[in-house]
Amino acid sequence: AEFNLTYSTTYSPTHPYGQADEQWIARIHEQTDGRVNITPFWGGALINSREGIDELNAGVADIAYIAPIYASSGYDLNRLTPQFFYGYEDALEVLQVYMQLWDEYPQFAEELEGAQVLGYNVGTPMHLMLRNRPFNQISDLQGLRIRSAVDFIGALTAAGAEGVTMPMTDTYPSLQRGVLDGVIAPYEALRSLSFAEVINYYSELPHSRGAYPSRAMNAQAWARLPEDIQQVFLDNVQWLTETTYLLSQESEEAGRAYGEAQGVQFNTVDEDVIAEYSSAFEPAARQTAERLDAAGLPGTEILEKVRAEHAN
Amino acid sequence: MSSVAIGFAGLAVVFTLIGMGMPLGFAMGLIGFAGFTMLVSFDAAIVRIGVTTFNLATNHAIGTIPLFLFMAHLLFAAGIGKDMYDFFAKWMGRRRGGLAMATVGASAGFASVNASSLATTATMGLVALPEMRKHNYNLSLASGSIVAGGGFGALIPPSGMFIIYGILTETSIGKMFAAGIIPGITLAIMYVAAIAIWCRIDPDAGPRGPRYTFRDKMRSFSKTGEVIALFTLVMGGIVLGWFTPTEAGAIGALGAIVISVARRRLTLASARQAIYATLKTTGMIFGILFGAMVFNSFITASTIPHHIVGFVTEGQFPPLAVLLMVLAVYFILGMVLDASAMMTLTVPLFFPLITSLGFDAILFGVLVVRMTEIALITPPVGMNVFILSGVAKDVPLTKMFKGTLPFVSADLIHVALLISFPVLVLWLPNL
Amino acid sequence: METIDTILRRVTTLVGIVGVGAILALMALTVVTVVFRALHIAFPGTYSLSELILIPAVSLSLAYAAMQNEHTRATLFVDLIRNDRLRNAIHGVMLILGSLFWVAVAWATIREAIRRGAQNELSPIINVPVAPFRWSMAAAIVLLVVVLLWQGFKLLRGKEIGEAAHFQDPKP
Ligand code: NA
Ligand code: NA
Repeated sequence: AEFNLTYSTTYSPTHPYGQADEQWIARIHEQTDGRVNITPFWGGALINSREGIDELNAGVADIAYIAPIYASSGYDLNRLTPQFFYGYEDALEVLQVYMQLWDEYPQFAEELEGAQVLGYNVGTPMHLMLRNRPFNQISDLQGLRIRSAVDFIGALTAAGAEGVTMPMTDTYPSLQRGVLDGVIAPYEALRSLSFAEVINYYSELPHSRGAYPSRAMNAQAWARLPEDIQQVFLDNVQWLTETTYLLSQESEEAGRAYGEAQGVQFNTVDEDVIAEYSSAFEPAARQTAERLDAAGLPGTEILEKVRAEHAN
Repeated sequence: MSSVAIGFAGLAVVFTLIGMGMPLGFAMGLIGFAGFTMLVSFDAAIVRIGVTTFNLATNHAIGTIPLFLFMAHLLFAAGIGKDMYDFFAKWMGRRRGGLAMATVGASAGFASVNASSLATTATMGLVALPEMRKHNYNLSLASGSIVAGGGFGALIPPSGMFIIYGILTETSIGKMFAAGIIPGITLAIMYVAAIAIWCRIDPDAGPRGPRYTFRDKMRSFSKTGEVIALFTLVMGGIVLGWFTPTEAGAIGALGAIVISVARRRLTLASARQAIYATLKTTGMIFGILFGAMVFNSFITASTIPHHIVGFVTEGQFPPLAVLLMVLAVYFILGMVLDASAMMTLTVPLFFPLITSLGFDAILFGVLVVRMTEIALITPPVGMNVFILSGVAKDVPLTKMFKGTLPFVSADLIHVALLISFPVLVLWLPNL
Repeated sequence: METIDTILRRVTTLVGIVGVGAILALMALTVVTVVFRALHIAFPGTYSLSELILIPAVSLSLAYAAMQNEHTRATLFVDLIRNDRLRNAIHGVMLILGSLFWVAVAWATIREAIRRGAQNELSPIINVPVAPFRWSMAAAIVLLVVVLLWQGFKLLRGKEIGEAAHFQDPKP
């Protein structure tokens, strides 16, 4: 092909993100009449850091799956604003609000140092998976040890639980043996990470994950492409974003069905309990917003917008 | 030059440098870096090298290696390893190769308390190699049984490789764990057979020890108390959910201190020696790991693996032929790539193909993990061998690689056995 | 020459002590975590903290092993060379050439330390600045390079660097 590009992702083609990538790669090939060929490197074979942006910007791959939310520093708006979406239960709503923010604040794009964003991800909400009993009220969390993302630890602590940031590879054996009492993860993980084998209860206490730019092209690689080919990529941004979401949603449903088949007990959580639990996220979100303000970024402004949209 | 040509040139230069005596990790790292620069750019290579080395230096799973090493050095310093081998010598020493067979068994036992092949190799290397040398074992046989036995770390649950495979392919991790047990036992039997055959051909390889009376044998039990106590503590703690397999190294090290101090086996001086030895062996092992990780990036970027995989996936071959070719690809890639790199690079490409041909995902997982374990002991890049050579510096690499040959043969027969009788793999997980 | 040897010997002692401290701290941290867990005392920062301690544990051990002249090498072919001078010279060249890899690692580490430091990188949960740990890694790798160059230089000058005993384990 005229343009041979490398694409690096930490996911594999069995994962919904990887499935979306495969379809997208074929689509780009077709819509450019075969002028663009994209070679995927799966499973973190080429770029294995969690965020991948630095390596993309350095040109390790031409295109990469990126996750600025996992960066340990830098990309402050991209990394920190997902925290503001606490309490959101509908991923599509998160995506809508987030895309408005991207349109409104050019700072999001500027942080990526010229990398061209080719698609966005919205995390489907995660819930609470437990070994011994379902979650119905806040006091049920007292004394439990839960594997969780860093962002959720404050709320767990407020509820009297212990949040643990264990690596994924340790989580399964820990749930199996009772080192952990539970994990915060989406339906899909019941199947993909085999959690249905080691937990018994799935309580629908939503933990929103926000959204983030998830695929991007290195600035130089982008600049080398002629305008008509750039246009094909741009025309597919929305397609890739939607397809990723739809496949994730399918995978969520399949994960839930798998959990049911494995005998996992599902329960919904009272709206009041969800609201009470979610309110524990507010102080940390405020703090983050103020830190962004101090760095000259519109932190509080964005926080207010995200919260106002949720109240509607 | 094309990417593939650069890849092959890089391989050639690496082996030349290693042959000229450049430390292994340095050669792999240097050529990995230079090659990546040629393939992509200097900037990209610097960023990649920075991310890779920092990730490695903060990797929790690999970070347990120093603590397992510490435990092993303590066992050595306190003479506990020696007592264990005295016990083996009394009970199995009359049999030719008996201590090597005992090493295989002990490795399998140790594998049940940790998730990593490298940790198993390092620990057993420190404990078993000096004892087999003392009993005049052929160095190739001794080191071969240790590095091959290291492979049990990933086959006998808990296993980090099964978890990675499970996550990459969305296969049940519980079933993978169950699937590893019978292959683990059958493999141990085959290794023992390999040792027996070796000693039949060359009786001096694993010489017979003196005969002991039944009373002597029974008395030797009393000296195994420390090992049994330590094993019970670590195994029990994992089963009861007190700690994770990655935490087991720290608990084991502390346990070794407590037990040997309580039995007055450890002096302050020997404890100090053990910890400095830990620092030194950690440095040697990480020196190799740093280089190997950077080298992996280079081989990946060279697209050599992609071309090999493409050949297999695009040809229209019958299913069994495809499976055998895939395994052959693993064998070849395994010569130069590290096990986990091989897994993440190729499993996503082969998995859809293999399952679409009607092979079971669990069976394939066990076969892949078997192949990655073989990769750890085949020359020229065999991480288990490198690790052992890190803890037993005076044994030449060539002797060690020579010692892996019978075990690799046993491995290949074992893989053939699993393909012929998938029930060995699938019976337990499907119960 | 003597002076440089003396300096390196003193640095070895220091590196050894800090490295040993890091490994012992790593063990203590894990043990404390397990004990706290049994007592139901929350200690959510364990993983972040152990990742930080791992950095000096690993990088100082690299420097320490090099100072002890402990490298894993294949000597099959070079041992065939009967001429001591030539064999040592090849060994020296290989160490100096190989040190280039560590120069690259040091460069990459320093670059990241500066960049991430400017971004105020914090370890999650415990909110400890990561920069000092990145710098400790950079310092260890630079030291490793210095040691390799010195050993290579000595070998080229025809001086033995000893088999793994050039610098003794630090005595109390
Ligand atoms: Na294991
Ligand atoms: Na190999």
